[in-house]
Amino acid sequence: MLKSFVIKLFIIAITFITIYIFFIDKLSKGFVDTNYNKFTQEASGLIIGLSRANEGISPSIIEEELKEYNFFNKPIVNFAFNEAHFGEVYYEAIKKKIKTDNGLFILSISPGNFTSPLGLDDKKVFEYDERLTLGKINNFVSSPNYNYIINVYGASLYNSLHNLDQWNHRVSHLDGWNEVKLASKLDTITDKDIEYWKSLTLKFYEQKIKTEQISSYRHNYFIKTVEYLKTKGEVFLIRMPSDSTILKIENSHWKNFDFEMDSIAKSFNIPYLNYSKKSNNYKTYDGSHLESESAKEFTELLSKDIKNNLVE
Amino acid sequence: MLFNSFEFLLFFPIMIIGFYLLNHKYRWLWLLLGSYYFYMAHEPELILLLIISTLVDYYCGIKMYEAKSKSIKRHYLLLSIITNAGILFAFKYLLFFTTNIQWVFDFFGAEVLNDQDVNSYNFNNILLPIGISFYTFQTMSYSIEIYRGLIIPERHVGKFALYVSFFPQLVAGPVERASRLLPQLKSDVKININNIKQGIIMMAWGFFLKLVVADRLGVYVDEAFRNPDSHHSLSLVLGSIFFCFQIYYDFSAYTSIAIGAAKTMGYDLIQNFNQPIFATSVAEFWKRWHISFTQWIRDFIYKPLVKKNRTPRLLAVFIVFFINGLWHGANWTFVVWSLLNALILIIEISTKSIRYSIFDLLHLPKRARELIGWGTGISLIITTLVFFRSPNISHAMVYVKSMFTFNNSFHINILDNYFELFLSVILIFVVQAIYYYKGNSKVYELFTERTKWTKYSMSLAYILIIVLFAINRQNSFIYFQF
Repeated sequence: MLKSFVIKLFIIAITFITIYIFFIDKLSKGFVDTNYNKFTQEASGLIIGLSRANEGISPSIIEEELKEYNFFNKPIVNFAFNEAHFGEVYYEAIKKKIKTDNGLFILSISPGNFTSPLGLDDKKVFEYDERLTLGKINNFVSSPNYNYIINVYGASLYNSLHNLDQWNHRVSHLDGWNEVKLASKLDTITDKDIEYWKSLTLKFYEQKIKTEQISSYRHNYFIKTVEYLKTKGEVFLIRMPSDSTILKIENSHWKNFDFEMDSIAKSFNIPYLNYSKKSNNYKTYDGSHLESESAKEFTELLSKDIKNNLVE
Repeated sequence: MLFNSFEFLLFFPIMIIGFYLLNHKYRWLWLLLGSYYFYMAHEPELILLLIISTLVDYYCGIKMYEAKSKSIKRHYLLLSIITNAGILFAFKYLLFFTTNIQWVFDFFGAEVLNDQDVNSYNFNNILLPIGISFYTFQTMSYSIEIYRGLIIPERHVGKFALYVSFFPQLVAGPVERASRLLPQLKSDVKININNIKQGIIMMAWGFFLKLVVADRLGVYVDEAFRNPDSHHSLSLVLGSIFFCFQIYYDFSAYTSIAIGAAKTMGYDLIQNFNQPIFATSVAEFWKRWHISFTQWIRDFIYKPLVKKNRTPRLLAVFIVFFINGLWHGANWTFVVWSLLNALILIIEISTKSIRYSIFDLLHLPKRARELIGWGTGISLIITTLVFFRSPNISHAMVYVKSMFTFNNSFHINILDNYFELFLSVILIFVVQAIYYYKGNSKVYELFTERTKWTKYSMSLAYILIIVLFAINRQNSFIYFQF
């Protein structure tokens, strides 16, 4: 009786594992989530930063704009997303992601890249980061990336039965860029929607300022990241355009931000391209993140500036 | 170690196989080592606190039993209580206490600590030992019961240590009395297929509750509570209803897994829930919710206050609920949540005769009275739980205010996913239907009372449901933080 019970348990366990693997694999062949494509290839160049860079910089446009020049190796991957603050965890992930020495690295920075929850010391900030996406996985380059799906994918596997992003305005590109279009097949994001989302973003920022602090740990790892990337290719520090009210909140949180970043850039002999003053030229869909057309325009301008810098 | 982790899926079968392969004489050691490993998987150094608590209570228990006079007994009881409460205070409440003291002094314009002093203490870096409120209360019950002459002390330090740290219930209960658990841990358990089957089914039920239902509800709840002032009234009402079920299923899931894990080894743990959602009053709800803990509070705090110290019942209820709130966490939100429940309870009890007179006057049948009681009770419990879930009082107030400000919007699909919303509601009905028919402790009958082929089909359906519908987040259980 015991023997047959153990055999039944064994069969159940095998069935469970088989079905689980089947659906994990099925999911990997379709749409997983908006960040999955950032973790499925080795890269020569990287876009580094938070959500603004995630949605505002297209690697393929940069590659296309600079294809006549042999400045750097390909591919460039948009490795920016909203949990990617500077720190040991991001630093180690970046190191594992890069495959060659002649790359292009664009670091999109704002005070937000340097914040951590209030009251945490260096060790706690590290532990905090370890609990987020980058800390949960150790494979950043495989396709399919089962390591990512098992440890990070946060929804149910029944989603493997369809191939849709929940939000029809977003296109997740294979190079890691998450493009947000104002018009989709189903509806259009109106100016009224944008105003409403902007008010939510502002609330979020006002709340964030009360609960977050600028972390010296993150600052140190930012320096360390720049140092490392300098050994791997060309590095550009940039500040992306955003809504003026939000930039104002950010600047009030770190008063000399642009000056300090410029000084750091000069000390490393790299450019600091500050586009925040040109924010009026671009449109965001929520006050903080560029919509598709603006993202393309911005990436084109950025590519030209990179080209000018490298030709000089 | 989380029950819903891959580590536990490896750890548990090893524990069970080892347990049954070993001679009865050595099983306590196997379980003790396993329990310590289970605990250390989270924060290894904090095992020291568990060991200190164990050794002090072991020593005090024997000394109390051997003491000739009441005053010596009392000294050892005090030693036990001060040690456990001290550990609890230092690791759970110190930051809360100093912050509040400082706030009081600031309010009166006196500087008690300057910023440098506060930073030098660095209270934020004190780790909250997982399950500390559970095991300290469990060991304190052991000392108090010896002091009262209800049990005799355990002479075997290893077996006593196992009682304190028994892994299925170590980090989130049920809070077991020594008189129930210790004799079981010492008994020679023979392998029994029915126990193992029952245990595995209870564990499977717990995993379903946690991974498929509670964590799913949690996604909606997290969104509702993230920015309450940006959501409409109805979505916040739904958020608070979902939270009530989330916390119930989350905790009930843990309890089911704990009971199931212990059952596979032939041990019976106390059932922590008795269909609390069907309670027809707030008083009844508290008798059916987290039973092992409410019984602890009743026996070791409420009764001594009322019977021995002659504290007025009303005040005793407030004291008990104040402690209940603080036990849940070092935050005023828990205290306010608990005191609101005390207030409702007192109003409910004191208006009982008036309500009954009105019901009699209206010739309301028993069912209708129960329905009114249920509707009122559960609505109030759901509303007070907003404080439990909120990070601070002002956040809770914003939530409650927005919840009761109806703005002609019926938008409840805040996750922009109707399927998930529909699924969440269906799952609540399914679970409640199962609990209604089988109660919290006999869910395993759903499976055991079937024919062979129905069992195979149910097993396959279960696997498919877990694989396809589990929320893949490895979220820890809510009650782990207490």
